Amino acid sequence: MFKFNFDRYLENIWNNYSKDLSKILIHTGTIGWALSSAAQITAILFNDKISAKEKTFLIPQETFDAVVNIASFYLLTTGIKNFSKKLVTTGKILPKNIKNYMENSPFKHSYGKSNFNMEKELTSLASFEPHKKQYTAFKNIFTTGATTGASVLSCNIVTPILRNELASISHKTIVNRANEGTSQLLTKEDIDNKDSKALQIKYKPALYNHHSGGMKV
Amino acid sequence: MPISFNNFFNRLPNVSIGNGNPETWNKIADWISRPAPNRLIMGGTAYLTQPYIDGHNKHVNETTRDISKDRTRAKVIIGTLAGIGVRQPSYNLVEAMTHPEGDKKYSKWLIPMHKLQGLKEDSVFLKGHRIVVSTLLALGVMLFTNFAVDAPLTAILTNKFIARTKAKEQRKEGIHV
Repeated sequence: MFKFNFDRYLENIWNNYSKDLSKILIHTGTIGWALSSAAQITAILFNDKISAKEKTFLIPQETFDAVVNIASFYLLTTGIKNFSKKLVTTGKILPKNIKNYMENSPFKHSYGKSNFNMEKELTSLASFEPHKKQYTAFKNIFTTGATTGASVLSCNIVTPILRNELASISHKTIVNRANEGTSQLLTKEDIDNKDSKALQIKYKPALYNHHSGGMKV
Repeated sequence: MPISFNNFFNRLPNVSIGNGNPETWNKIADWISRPAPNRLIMGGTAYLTQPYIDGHNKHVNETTRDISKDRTRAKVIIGTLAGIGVRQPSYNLVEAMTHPEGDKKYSKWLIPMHKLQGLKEDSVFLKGHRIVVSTLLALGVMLFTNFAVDAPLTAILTNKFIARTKAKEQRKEGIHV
């Protein structure tokens, strides 16, 4: 008989994620964005105050919001996070006290180079002991600050610009097809139609399937 | 010399940034990493940038632009409030159940038994474990709140903003006439 072992799950979480928080943030962030987007698309679809014409922009906008957010988080945020960590672990950026220590150490010519590792070379040295606490705290605040800044840049600047560009292309395609009479989704009359409720009944399955096809929630 | 990331990196000058208090640095980093403050920072900056970007989207007509701006504003407000409302209690609950030296019945409930031996309150892994478990718990709760709370409240607030924008436009037109 199946026996639920809660402790085994806790141990898996501890072993897989607690040593590297960025992994859990990426995994839960991806699911979170997809879920949030699916909920928001449903809300737009059922909102009677928004006309079909506006919906042909807002639904792709919300879909691309999740897709671009996930992509830019993987590329931009994790890239900046790793780069900021490298800046500190190679000694490229350091607090003044530690930089002075490095200038008078045997590592004077090697620190700050891409293959240098402060933690490997110095943390076991007795003379570095008084600086160890400051180094660890500096690495903590610098990488946390850089990751937060990168998240703001990625989620709140890059994503809205790109999602609007992509949604505009999709919006124009739908409107053009409707005007040409070749759209399977909407007709010109539908776009001009102010009765949003009637449109929901007629096109809900088509709109929903068309725009949420990529979201595996 | 071939152009590579390492060559580029090695050519950057070594720099120093003042001397701060390590305790203060750790406190700030710890605060920023917590789920609720982190959501507040993201939500606050989103409110400043996203409606502005939507309001300047030249690819759509003025009406769509206004509605898009109003919806984004409503989504950011509701998303931030709901995010904090879910994440902070999740973190507090998990924190209460992850005290290796705690004497309450539930103090050690969410710590794996094999890791309890010799585990200290200030362990870096324990801090990470709290963030991880509370994030997973929050995600589970948000499976429900995204649909039951965020989406309908965003729609209500969006409609209020749209009505306000329309009234503003009408007032403007009235003045010009």
